[in-house]
Amino acid sequence: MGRSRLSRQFKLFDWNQFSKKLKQEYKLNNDGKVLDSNTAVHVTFNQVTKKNVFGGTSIKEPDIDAVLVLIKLGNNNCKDEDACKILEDALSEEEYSESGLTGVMLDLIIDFWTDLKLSNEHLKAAKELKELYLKKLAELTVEDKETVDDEPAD
Amino acid sequence: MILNIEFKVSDLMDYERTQDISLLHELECYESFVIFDLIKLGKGWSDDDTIKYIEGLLSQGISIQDIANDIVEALIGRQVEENDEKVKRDINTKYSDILEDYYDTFALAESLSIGEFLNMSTRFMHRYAKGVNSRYVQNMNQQIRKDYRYIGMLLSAVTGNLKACPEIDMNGNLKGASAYEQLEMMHRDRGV
Repeated sequence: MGRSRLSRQFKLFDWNQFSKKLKQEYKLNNDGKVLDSNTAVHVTFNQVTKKNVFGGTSIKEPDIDAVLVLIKLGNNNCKDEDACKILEDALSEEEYSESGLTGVMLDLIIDFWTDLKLSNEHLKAAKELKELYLKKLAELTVEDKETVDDEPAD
Repeated sequence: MILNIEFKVSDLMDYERTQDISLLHELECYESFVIFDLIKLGKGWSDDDTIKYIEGLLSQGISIQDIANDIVEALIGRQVEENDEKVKRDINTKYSDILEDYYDTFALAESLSIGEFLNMSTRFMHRYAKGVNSRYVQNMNQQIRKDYRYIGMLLSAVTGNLKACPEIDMNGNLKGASAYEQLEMMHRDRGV
């Protein structure tokens, strides 16, 4: 699985600057409360997963801002306009026609953990998460087709 | 140990205060920016050299967790186990508090000044602490042996078995004592 075209490279130095600032801003904006998790996990996995009622985790669509954060970080801290352009172009491509914003985010997460090499376990988890999502998407698409086929012609 | 790193006590206290973080908690979260800052602090390198060094370690398959645990070992002088009661790595416990506890012990036992303490490296601080502890135990044992001999002498006097008080000659040997008796006294004083 090669890297996506959504990012050129995530750099450790840029990431360190960003994560330090994120922790400080989080504390300022949350009445002195400290972000009690690793910031890399916070900007990646935590943006596309949520706890479900059964205690497990399920995939959710990320906020556009979360996606743009990673696009900017992975493209030499490009401007907001450039990041938006990269996202628009990606969403109009065939590759993300089914998976949409979630698919884009999952690819960015894989690029992030691939480039920074902070943890092989998290990289593996990112790839597995994408596979799981695409598999669920494929199952949903098949169900939709079966429903359409079952409906009688007018 | 991967990094072979040590820090100056005052640098760690300043870093924790200026960043307003709990060092041990952030290292438990494996925060790469803290790891970067501490390696840069401990090694005295530039940003570029520090980044290259960390990237080199990560490329060799050494995880950020391994690097973080190595730094924690350098900070507290030993490996931290799971649920280590003596080293709480929650948000509110600062490493500076642990350092201040160390200082209180040293100041009491060895009359160490705050300036000397702040200029210590963490590696020396842990060896110093072990030395303080060993000296404390030795001194206590010596005192206990003295008290024990004193009580032995008293009891001997009461039962009429008290021998003549021994003396040491100018060479440090017991006057009139056999070689065996002198060896015994020497071993007792050394705590062997």
